[in-house]
Amino acid sequence: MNLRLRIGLAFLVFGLFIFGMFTVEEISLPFISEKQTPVAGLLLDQVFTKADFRYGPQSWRPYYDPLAIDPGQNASAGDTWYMMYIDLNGTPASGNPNVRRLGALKVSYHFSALAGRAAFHVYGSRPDSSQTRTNRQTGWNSCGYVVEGPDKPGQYMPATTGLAPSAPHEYQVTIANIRGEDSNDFSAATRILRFDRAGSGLDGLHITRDPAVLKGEVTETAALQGSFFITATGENPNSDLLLLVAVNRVQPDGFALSVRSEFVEGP
Amino acid sequence: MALKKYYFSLYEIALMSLCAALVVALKTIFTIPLHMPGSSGIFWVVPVIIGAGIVKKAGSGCYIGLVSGILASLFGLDALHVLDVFKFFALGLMVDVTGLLFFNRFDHPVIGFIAGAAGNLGKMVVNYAVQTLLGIPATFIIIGMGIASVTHFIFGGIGGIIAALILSRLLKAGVITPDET
Repeated sequence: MNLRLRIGLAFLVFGLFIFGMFTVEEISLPFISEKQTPVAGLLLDQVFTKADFRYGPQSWRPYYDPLAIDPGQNASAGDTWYMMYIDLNGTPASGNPNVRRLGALKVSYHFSALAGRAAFHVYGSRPDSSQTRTNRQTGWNSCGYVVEGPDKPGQYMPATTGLAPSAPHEYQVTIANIRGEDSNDFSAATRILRFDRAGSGLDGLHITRDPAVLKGEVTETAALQGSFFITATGENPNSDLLLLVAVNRVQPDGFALSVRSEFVEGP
Repeated sequence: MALKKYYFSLYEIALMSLCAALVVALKTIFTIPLHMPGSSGIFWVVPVIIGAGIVKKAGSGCYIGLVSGILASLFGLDALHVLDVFKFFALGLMVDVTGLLFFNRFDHPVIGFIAGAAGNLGKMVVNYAVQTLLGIPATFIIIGMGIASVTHFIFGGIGGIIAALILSRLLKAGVITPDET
């Protein structure tokens, strides 16, 4: 058999293979459960209090090398923060041709009696490994969301402790969504944040005011009520998405944070 | 006393190991921000095809794939860790099969394209197989499989052409000879 014929046959095999992949996809789609695809709708609607700030005071948030918390221009050096982690019960699916149903996670917040600054960041774990991604807050494509509150600081923060690595470059955090029998029992639900190397997973998730602007921006606002979107770029959606809420002051007793998350298709 | 003759000479083993290390090095150095499946195939099929094109023996692609897979697992480059060995091995195996079918003419751009595309598609199939075995939801695997196979085909093919052009340049410049080993 001459070379040209072999080349022609090879391209025929490639064509058949690709056609076969499209066929398998089309045949299989009707059998895929709707539950396995991101569906538009409300995923979380919960009110959190200052008792849900489980960690702090500290000046950093988890990454391979710890990151500063305040992404804003008005960050003051030496600030220490109290942190809570909220499972948003969903994941954005953006920028990946592997996933047809593209969409973002819309997060609506409403603070009552907020003292100082509250910074939002996001963490997500890849489904095929426990490697964690987060938003980049400084430099190129930086994004984040900061709310400045008018209230005076309170006297104490209950149940806070410094977050320490559970293994090198790995953190076990308790989420605030599920509480134990009493306010000090947070053992009900934990998540692992694991970072394999410097630079990895940074800039995989974004916080944006407009889901059409995938990579987002740093927003500083005094609006105690508002919303933003969480988007993802690259690879598959996350198996788990955590919202980090950090405040740099002891909160007054009346502090409350209402968080709603919902999957919105588009942009 | 006659020396035992091995299938691969020491020179060939050294060359293939260097190519395997180059796969890992390229994967570490380059990040293609296209966010398209298989886009990294544009550079990581290159050392495998060049190595197989110089050695011109069945199994050279498998050797390069296996060593690069072990190195990638050790350095934790990809998400599947030790299971990545199968992915890299599949790439090398497909390059070997192409070499057998096309008389190891990897310096020909069309055959380079076929070798690169076959290698990248083989990698994709093994990747899907491993993910299925690990219990990843079918949604993430099946949806977009057609598009993913097209992008793997194109990017792997481009990588193969690059490898073929490098090989033919090396041959023309006399850096390597057709019977190098």
